[in-house]
Amino acid sequence: MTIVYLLLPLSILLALIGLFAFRWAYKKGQLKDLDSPPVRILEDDLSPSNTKDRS
Amino acid sequence: MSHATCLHCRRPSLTGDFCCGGCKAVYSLIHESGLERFYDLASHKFSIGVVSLPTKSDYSILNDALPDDITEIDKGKLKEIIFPISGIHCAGCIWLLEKLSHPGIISSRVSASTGEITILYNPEEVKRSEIATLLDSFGYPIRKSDEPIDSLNLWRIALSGFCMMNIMMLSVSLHEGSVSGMDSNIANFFKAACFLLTIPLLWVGGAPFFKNALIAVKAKEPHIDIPLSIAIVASFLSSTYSFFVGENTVYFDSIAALIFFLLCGRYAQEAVLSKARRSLSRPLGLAPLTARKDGQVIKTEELIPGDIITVLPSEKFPTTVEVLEGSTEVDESSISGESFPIVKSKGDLVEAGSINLYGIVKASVAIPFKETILSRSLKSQIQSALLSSERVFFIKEITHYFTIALLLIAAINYAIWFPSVQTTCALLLVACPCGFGIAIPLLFASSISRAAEKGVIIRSAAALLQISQVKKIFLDKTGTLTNDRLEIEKIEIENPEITEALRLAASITPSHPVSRAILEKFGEIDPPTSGKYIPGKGVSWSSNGSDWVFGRDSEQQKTSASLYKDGKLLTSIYFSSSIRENAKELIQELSSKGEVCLISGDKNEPTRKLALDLGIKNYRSNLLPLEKADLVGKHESLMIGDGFNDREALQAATISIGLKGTTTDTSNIYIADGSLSLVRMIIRGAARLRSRMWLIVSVSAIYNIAGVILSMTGIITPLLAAILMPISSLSLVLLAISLDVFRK
Repeated sequence: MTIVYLLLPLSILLALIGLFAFRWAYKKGQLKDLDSPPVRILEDDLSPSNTKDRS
Repeated sequence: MSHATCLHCRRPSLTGDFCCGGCKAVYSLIHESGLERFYDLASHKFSIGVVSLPTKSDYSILNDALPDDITEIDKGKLKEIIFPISGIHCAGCIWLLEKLSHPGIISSRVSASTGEITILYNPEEVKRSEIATLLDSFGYPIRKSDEPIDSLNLWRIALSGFCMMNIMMLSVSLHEGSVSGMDSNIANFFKAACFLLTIPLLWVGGAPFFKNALIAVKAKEPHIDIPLSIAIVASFLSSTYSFFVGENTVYFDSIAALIFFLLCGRYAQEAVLSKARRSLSRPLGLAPLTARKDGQVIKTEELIPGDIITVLPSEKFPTTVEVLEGSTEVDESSISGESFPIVKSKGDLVEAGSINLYGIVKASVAIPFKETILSRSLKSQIQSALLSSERVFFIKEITHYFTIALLLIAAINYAIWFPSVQTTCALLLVACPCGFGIAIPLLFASSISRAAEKGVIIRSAAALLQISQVKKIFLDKTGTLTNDRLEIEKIEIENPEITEALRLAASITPSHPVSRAILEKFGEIDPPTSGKYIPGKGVSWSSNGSDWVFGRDSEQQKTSASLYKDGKLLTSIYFSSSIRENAKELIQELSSKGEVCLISGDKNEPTRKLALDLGIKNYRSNLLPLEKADLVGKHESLMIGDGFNDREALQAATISIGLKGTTTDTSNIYIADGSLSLVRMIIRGAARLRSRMWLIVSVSAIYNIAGVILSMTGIITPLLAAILMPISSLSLVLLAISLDVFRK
């Protein structure tokens, strides 16, 4: 069971990488706007003039 | 009665295809720009739409100076500008705003969460003011920016979550190991890891609680965070002690779970509040940004008393002024709720924000903009919202006694078990008020967000609780129980010639409330070329070889007007404002709760008539705003009002419900579209909220008492604490979010 002494710090270190990845994304403002991107992705990139033909 | 729906905003409309001129303008603008797809995408999703004011703002000042609310960054030849805007409520809005095509605008990007639009533009081709005007014309006025909130919150939760989950994983092994026999070296190693993980958790995650507790201690005011902090710190210290001397009673996992749950609860509450706050924030252009002084345009803030300014027709008064030259009628409806224009001539004071309807006015500045009621209300709105976010979820009396009781019991317990601190720490931890710390804030937050979906902004949840207790209810008349639009009540003699003449008269001053009432009934017509307007008197024109005059009979007779042909009286016409929908039902419901009293600044006769029609026994008329406030302030009262003239009364009341207009910042509860059925909904919801709160308090009390008994008898173990804590928290949270208090 002595391997636990190595594995435990390792697992925490691994998780820490994830935590700091989150911190980086957070600082970069990726979580600032959670409402518009899910809406935006559904919208085709049509120019206003094209949309007229659709209706 | 079935309503047509406005083609643009899809609200019920009484006036055909559009509910107002603003919507009509935006609708045709969207069609001209080929952006009809907006209507396929539109729905009300992100926030409630506070109806934008039909008066457009003058943004030209933005070209010279940038207010703090707007930020701009240089990007080589181009510039990137960020406007806080209001009115983003659905996918359609995002689509529309990101498809804006205008020479000089290169790209635009919307953030629906923060209510901001970032525009990359070429300063050589387009001016800032043009962009602002463009946004405004589509119905997205520039607003004041948000107060910064604690941006560390999400990081705090992430770090606490990280620590908590690792501690949990290790603790499960430890609890299991204590039964099945775990190697003591490995057990100590796990405990050490738990200890190390708890330190950053306390440092970052616990900080807000410790800070609040310190402030409360300094202010000598019991606050929920005091027992929380004591529980956290005491159990940490005792667990650390146990860990170092090699005992089994470590509570690191309970501490971690407690902090994490508490942080999540507070984050949810803050998110809901800041959303509500944003939908409340006023358009930047509500106060006029510029003023005309000696032929020059200067910033409103730079005006000093004694400056002589000129205000043209249809402009807003930039600050409170005294009229020097010229006379006009001003529309104060957005400020005072007074539907009749008020005549202002030499020597009269005009409040900032009123709209000059007709004449050119020269006036001297009476007080600087900063001291006007308009400016103060813009500020106090933000302050009160901030204040309440700290106080709202803090039910003073209960926590007061709870805190004292808990500390007392802990002290007794310590005396019994002296010198061991183990049981006392377990007691503080298990009995710590999760119900108050998490469940009740969540109950209020979810109620507030549910109300916001329906168009009601609740500034203070504490007020919502008090509604079911008040015994005196005061209601304003004009605008609250009656429509602020005028209607024609009676025309003494009616024939085609008179109708034609009335239409002509109305078309000379089409924005006058009296004219609107006429035009609405008889239809629009081109104004006569000879039409002339005399402020405070009426209009005159000549047609078909006769001279016509249409106007008020006297200053006092506000509700009637007469038509003269060649100096001969033809007919008189009477106006009134009709009773609003749901007013009767509301009064019935309120009467069963307490004593209803109608208070009005209007004359005695119309007030008496309305009270009679609605079955209200008590009424007072001819009241000045301050007299209203005196009356309301005497009792524990609920005040329902709508206009500027109700401001003082709304503030004096224990709880106030504001409808539309400028009551946003003075009332605890604000109804954006002013519907009376929503008032009924709030009153019913408040009763439900109250009973649900007591349910949570009782359940939480049972948990706490059980916890106290278990720990005082010394039965409680770290394992039991680890099980009891999350169960009580989760069941209380479920109780809190499962009820929609505002359902039908």
